[in-house]
Amino acid sequence: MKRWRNSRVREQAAGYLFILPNFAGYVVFVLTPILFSLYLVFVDWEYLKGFAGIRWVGLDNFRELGNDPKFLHSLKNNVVFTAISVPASMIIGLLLAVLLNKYVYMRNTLRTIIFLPYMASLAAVSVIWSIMYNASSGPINAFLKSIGIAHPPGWLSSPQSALYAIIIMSVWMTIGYTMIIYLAGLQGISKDLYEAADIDGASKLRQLLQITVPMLSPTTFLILITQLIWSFQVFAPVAIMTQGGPIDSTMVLSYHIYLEAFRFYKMGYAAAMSWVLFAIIFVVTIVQWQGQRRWQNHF
Amino acid sequence: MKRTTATAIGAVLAASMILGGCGGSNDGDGQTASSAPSASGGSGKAITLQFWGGVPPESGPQEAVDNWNKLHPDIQVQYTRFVNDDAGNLKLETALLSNQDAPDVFMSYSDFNVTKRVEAGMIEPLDDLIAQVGFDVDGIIGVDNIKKFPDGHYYYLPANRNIGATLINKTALEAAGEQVPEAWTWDQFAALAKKLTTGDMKGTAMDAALNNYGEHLLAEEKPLDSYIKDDGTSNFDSPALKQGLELQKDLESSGAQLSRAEAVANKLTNQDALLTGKAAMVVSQIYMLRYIKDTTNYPHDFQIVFAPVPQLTEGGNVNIGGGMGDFMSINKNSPNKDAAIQFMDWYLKEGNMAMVPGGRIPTNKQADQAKIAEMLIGDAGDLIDQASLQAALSGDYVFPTSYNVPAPTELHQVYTEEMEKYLLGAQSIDAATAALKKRGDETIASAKK
Repeated sequence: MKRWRNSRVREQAAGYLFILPNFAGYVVFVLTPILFSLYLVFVDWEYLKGFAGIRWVGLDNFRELGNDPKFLHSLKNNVVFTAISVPASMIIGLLLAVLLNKYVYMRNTLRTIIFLPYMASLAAVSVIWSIMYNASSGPINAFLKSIGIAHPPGWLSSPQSALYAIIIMSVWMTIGYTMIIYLAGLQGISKDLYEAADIDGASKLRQLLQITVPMLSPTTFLILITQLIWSFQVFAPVAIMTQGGPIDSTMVLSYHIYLEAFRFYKMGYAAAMSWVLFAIIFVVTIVQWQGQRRWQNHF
Repeated sequence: MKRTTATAIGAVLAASMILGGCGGSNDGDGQTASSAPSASGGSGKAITLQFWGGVPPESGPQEAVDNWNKLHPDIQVQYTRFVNDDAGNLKLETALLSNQDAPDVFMSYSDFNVTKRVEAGMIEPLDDLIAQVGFDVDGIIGVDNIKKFPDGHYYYLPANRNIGATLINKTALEAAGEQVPEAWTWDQFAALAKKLTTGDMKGTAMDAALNNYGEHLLAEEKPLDSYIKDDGTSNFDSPALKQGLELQKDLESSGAQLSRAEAVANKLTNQDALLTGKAAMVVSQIYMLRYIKDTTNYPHDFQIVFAPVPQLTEGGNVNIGGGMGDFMSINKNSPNKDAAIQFMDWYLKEGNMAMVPGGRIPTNKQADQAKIAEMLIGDAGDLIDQASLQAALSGDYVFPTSYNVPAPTELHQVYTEEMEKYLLGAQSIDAATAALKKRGDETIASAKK
């Protein structure tokens, strides 16, 4: 009996040893900063004085949220960004997946081409797109002018179009991801269903809407959740392409947090906002999980 | 989920690389800076001083440090560059707070950066150390050129004297049949900019991250703490600021200057605008010489001539962009203050001559001015109009300073936001100035709380 327990303990110890390097990294670089940021939520930190500059303020940081028009404005931009970019990327990704699944020649090459942007560095992509968006000498506006549009949008330099310019780039980047996941989902749908529908005389469109889309609903949920989390955290394109401008038209929460922390040194307030951002993403995700369970019970 | 995991792993990797990088750059064969007491004794192990600045090592600092290290085997200096932006300054300040391999000597690049570091108690008062090495502050730099803080101490010594100037493409100027202006106002500047605008070449350009006319004109009207009035309230309702905003809008709408919004989106820099022929002139500083000489990255064949910075009123001589810079300070927690002041003493007297080819003029009044001009020009004599450069270097200027402005970062942010709204047509000039004054006063009030 004792021997058995010993070996079990040793086995467990070995297991812990194996995960130790990874776990230590996690504790030092992820867990500790997260817990520390949770503490910062309740303090006002005069950063230049080091740890001595920390002062407990309770919930003041959250009260300040209500007085910060930029917080609400950023939140609104986040919602617009997500509400457009996520569905757009999913619909285009689904259509491409269906097409590439059977109807096209050279589909491997095309798949690679569409997936490529997703693998590219976000920073590099942002720089290249900001060159393309250049209002006076960029290729996009040069093309628009050549087909007869006299006053093409100012893209990144106009408060009306800057957010949409970033949305377009972001959709272009993420359709590769949604397409690949949908392609995998399509492999799981039995051909019998389509054969039966063909015999019944259903059109291709009807097959798409009534077989493919419902059968893909678990895949759709997976993509929805990952894309939603990702899109709520949008930061790099804003930081690189517009710095939140013009006139805050592309100011999103994560960039607002960044500025408050690293330009204005309001660490406590920035930490409070980042936990609000976390709470929003968390709640949306929970709602989706619940919704998914209910939806899938239909089938 | 994959994406977030990948991001997390990436972040961990990046963090470990940064840490690794810090360790690597500081290890210096195990000669860590732990032997503080031997600073003046000169016996025993060599001291390693950490010196942080914002200039890329190849533009002078590495040469300066190498020169010192050859002369002083017992005090070895290592140069670390931080980028002088939000993130870079945060990195410097975090390093100053840390216990290990913290900077001993470091540079601050603006009045408000050095002020906030003094107020936070990060900087060692220099008076005793200056006396210890016998550095002649007045004879070398001039007491008028250094700010004494309210407690009566020096906290920094400036190593660089900046000079603002208007740089003009001589070929474009001659093609327009114009003379190099010797003293001029912003109205004359705007007229010339419009005249120089031809085809693809705009009359002037502006690095949106560095410059704007409103703040320029405001500083010319009130060179001392331009953001605030004498009574401490916001100076954003000044007519000079309004005139600057209108000047910018006029230049943009007449096509003589790329709009600010586009300049931001395109990340237009002064050197890029002037030297690739996108604009015929820029109001900038002498440091631009560094790019004029860099014909690899900026191939061009036209000469650049130097004119003064345009003035708010005729006969003014406020030098926008000019003044004392490269504020050298010693970390309050440095264990090697004696060695640090020795290095500063040398750097300010002769070491910073290595910075001249990179376009940074020493503050040392006794330095050989003819030699400095020669080094500034280097072998690019055919790209630089030497007579007008000499005139710019030897001018007698009033330099703007702002040590006493509360919350300068926040005030600048307020200004930028309201300016953008005005320039993009989202509000009228009167609404802009009213909002500026109101928000400026609020910002000052909440900073004093």
